[in-house]
Amino acid sequence: MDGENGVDVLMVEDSEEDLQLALRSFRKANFLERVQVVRDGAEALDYLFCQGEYAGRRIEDIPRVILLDLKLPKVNGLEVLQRVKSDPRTRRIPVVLLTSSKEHSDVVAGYENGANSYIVKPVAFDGFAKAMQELGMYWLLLNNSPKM
Amino acid sequence: MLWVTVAAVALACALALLLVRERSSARNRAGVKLQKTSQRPLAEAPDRSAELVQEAVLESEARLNGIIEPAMDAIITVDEQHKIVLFNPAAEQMFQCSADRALGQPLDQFIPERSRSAHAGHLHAFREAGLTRRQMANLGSISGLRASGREFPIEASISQVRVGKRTLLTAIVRDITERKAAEADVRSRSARFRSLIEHSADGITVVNAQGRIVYASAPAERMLGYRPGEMVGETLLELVHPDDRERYKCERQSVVKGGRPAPSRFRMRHKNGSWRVIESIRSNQLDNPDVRGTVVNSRDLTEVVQTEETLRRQAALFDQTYDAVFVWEWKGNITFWNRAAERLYGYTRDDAVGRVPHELLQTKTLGSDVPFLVPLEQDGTWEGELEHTTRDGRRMTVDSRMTLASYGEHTYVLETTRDITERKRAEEEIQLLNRDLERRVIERTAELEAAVKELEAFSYSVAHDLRAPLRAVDGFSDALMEDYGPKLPEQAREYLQTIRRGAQRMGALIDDLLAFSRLNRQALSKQTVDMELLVHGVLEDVLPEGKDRNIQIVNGTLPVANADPSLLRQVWANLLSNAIKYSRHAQQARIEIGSLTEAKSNVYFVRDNGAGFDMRYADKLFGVFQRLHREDQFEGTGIGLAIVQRVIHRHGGRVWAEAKPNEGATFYFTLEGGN
Repeated sequence: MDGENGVDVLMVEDSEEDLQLALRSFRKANFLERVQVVRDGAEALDYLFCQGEYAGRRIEDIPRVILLDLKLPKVNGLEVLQRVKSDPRTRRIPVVLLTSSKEHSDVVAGYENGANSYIVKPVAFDGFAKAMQELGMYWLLLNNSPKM
Repeated sequence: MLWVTVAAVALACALALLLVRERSSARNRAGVKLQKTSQRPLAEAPDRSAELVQEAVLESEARLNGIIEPAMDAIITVDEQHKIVLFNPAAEQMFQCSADRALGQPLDQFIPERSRSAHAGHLHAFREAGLTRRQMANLGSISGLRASGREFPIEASISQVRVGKRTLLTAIVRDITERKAAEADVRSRSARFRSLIEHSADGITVVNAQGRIVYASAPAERMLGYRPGEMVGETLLELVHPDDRERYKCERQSVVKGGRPAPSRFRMRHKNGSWRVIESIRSNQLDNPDVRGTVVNSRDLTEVVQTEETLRRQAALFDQTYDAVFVWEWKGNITFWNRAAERLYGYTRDDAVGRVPHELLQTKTLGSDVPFLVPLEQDGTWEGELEHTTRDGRRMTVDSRMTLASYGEHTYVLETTRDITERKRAEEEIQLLNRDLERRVIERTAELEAAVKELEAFSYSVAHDLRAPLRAVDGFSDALMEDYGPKLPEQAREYLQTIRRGAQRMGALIDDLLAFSRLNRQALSKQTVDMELLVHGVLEDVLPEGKDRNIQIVNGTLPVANADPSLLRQVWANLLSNAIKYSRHAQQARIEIGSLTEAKSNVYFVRDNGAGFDMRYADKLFGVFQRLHREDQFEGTGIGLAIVQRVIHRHGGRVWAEAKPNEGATFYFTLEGGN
C-alpha cells in the first residue's frame, strides 16, 4: 500500500508564518524534499484523492503521514480528517493535528474522528520527531537524520 | 209482644168457652185438637140459656179457630200433668210433629233434655205464683226440640187459665232461629267494622250538635294521647289550637250548612301538652238518625308537616347557593330550578320547570350533544364543561356536575352548574401568555445559545488567530537568534529576548483567559473528595516550583468534601502555588494547610508567612487580571485567584483572605461536607 513514490509528509497549513517556521525546522533536519505542502482543505482533498490540479497523481502514492492544521479555509481540517478516515484508500494514513493549544477542544474532536497524535504549534522538528516516535514511525526520521 | 198478649187473652177466653161446651164433643174442624180431659159439665144452665150459651160458644169457637189456626207462632196448651191438649198448625210445623201425635203427650218431648227439669220447675213456680202470664225472655235464651231431635232457639210466653178446677197453661212459642242468625250476623259485621275502625290509621270522631264528642275511635284517641273512652264528652273545639279555632268554626259551619267537605289542617292539643298537626275531613250526619252528629275523619300529619318543613327549608337553602341547581327527570323535564339558576340563565322557575333542560339551555359540547347520558347511566355521575345559552342569548361555558338519583320508579338528575366563562377566558389568556412566554424563552435561549456560540467562536478565534502572530513573533525572533545570533550585537540579542518574553507572556495570558472562560461552561461533577489525598498530589506538582528553597509544610486535617475533584485540584494548585511564590522572600517559608469546622460547611485554608498584602485592596484580590504586586516582584497573570473564586462560587461556597503586608496571607474557602 505504501507507495514507494509517495511523499513522507503531507503538510496542510494555511498560515504563511507557521508554514515557514515549520519548513525551516524541516529544512534544518534535511527533511524538506520529502514534504508536500497544500494550503487549504480543498487542496488537501484534491491531492489525497487525485482530483483537480492533482488529477494526474496516482492514488497509490499516498503520503506516510499527514500534518493537518484544523483551521483551514474552504474545507476545514476536521472535515478533511473525516474524509481521510472514512475512505478505505486513505484510512490508514496517520494524521497528526497541528493545534494552537493542547487544551483546545479541537484536539478532543480530532481524536474522536480518528486523529493519531497532535503537535502544538509552532511545528519545530523536535516536536515533529516526538510525535513520530509516539506513532512508532521513528524509521521515518532515521533516513533523514537532522543536520546538526 | 202486644199481639202475643192479646192472642193469649183471647185464647184463654176461648179455652174457657171450649171447655164449657165440651159435651157437644164437637170436633175441632180446624185442627185445633182439644182433648176431653173431663166429662163433668162446667155448669148447669136452663135450656134457653143453654141455647144462648151454645150460640156464644160456637161463635167463640169460630173466633178462636180464626186466631189460633193461622197464627204464626206455635200455640201449645198443656194440662196440670203437662200433657198437651192443644197444638196448632204453627206448632206442628215448628216442632215437625202432627197434632195427632202431639196431643195427649207430655210437653217434655219438645224441650231439650237438659232443660226439662228446669222447665218443670219454672212451670211449677209459675202456677204457684198465680200469675196469669209471663214472658220467658228473662229466663235467658231457651230452646225447643223438634221431633227430629234438633234444637232451635225460641222465644216464648206463657199464660195460665183456670177453667173450673183445672188450670191450663198455654205457651206461645216463636222460632227465632233466623233472628238469632241475623243478630249474629249483625254482631259479626259490627265487630268487623269496629276492628277496621280501631285498626285504621285514621281516627274517627263523632261530635254531636253541641260539639261534644260522643264517639272517638281508638286511633282518634291515641292520636291525641287519650286512653280508650277518655275523649267522649270532651268538646272538640277546645282541643283545637286557639289560633286555629276561628278557622275550625268556619269550616264546621260550612259543612253543617251543606258545604262540600274538604280536608283541612288544624293544630290540636295532645294530652301531653304538645301540638299535633291533624288533617281532618268532616261530614255532616246530624240528620242521620243513626248518627246524629258530625263525623270527623282525622289523620296525624305532624311528622309529614315537619318533613315538609325540613324539605322546604332545604329547598330554600338550595336557593341560597351560588351555584345554579336544578333537577330534571331522567331524559325528561326539569322539576326543580333554584334561584341561582334563575339568575344565571334568566329563566324563572315557572319558565324552566316542565321544560327539557338541554333544549332550554341549548346544551352544547365539543363532542356529542349530550355526552353525559352514557357516563351518567354507567357511573351515576358526570362532571365536565358544557356550553349553555341564557334567555337573552348569551353563550357561556359552565362547569357542570350531574348526579343520578332514583326514587322508586323515578330517576332524577341533580345538576349544578357554574359559569366559568370568565375563568376560561382567563385560562386561555394565561395559556396565550404562557405560549408567548415559552416562545420568548425559546427566543431568549436561542439568543443565549447564539451568544455562547459567539463566545466559543471568540475563544476559538483567540486561541487560533491571536496566537498565530504571537507564534510568528516568537518563532522568527528565535529563528533570528538561532540563525544570525552570532552576527548581532549584544544589545540586539537582548532586545530579541525581550520580544520573545513579551510574546510568551501574552501566550500565557491567553491560555489563562481561555482556562477561566472554560470554567463557566464546564459542568460540575460533584463527588466525595478525599481532600488530604488531593492536597498531597497537588503538593507534589507544585513543590518543584520552590525546589531550591527550604519550605516548611504544615499539614492539618482536612475533612472530605462534596465537590468536583478536577476543579478543586485547580483551586488547591493555585493557592499553594501562590503560597510558594509569595513566601519566596521569607527567611523560613512556612505554609500551613488546615481546616475549621463550621455548622454547615467545612472551611479550608492555606496560610503562608510571605509578602502578604494590604487589606484595603482585598476586594480586588479575586478580580480577573487584578494584581496587588508588580510583575517584576512576583510574576503572574492575575487569573489564579479569579479561578479559585469562580470554582468555589460554583460549588456554592465562599472564599476570602486575611493578610498583612510582609506578614503573610491566609486564604479561606468553604465547601459542603462529603459523606
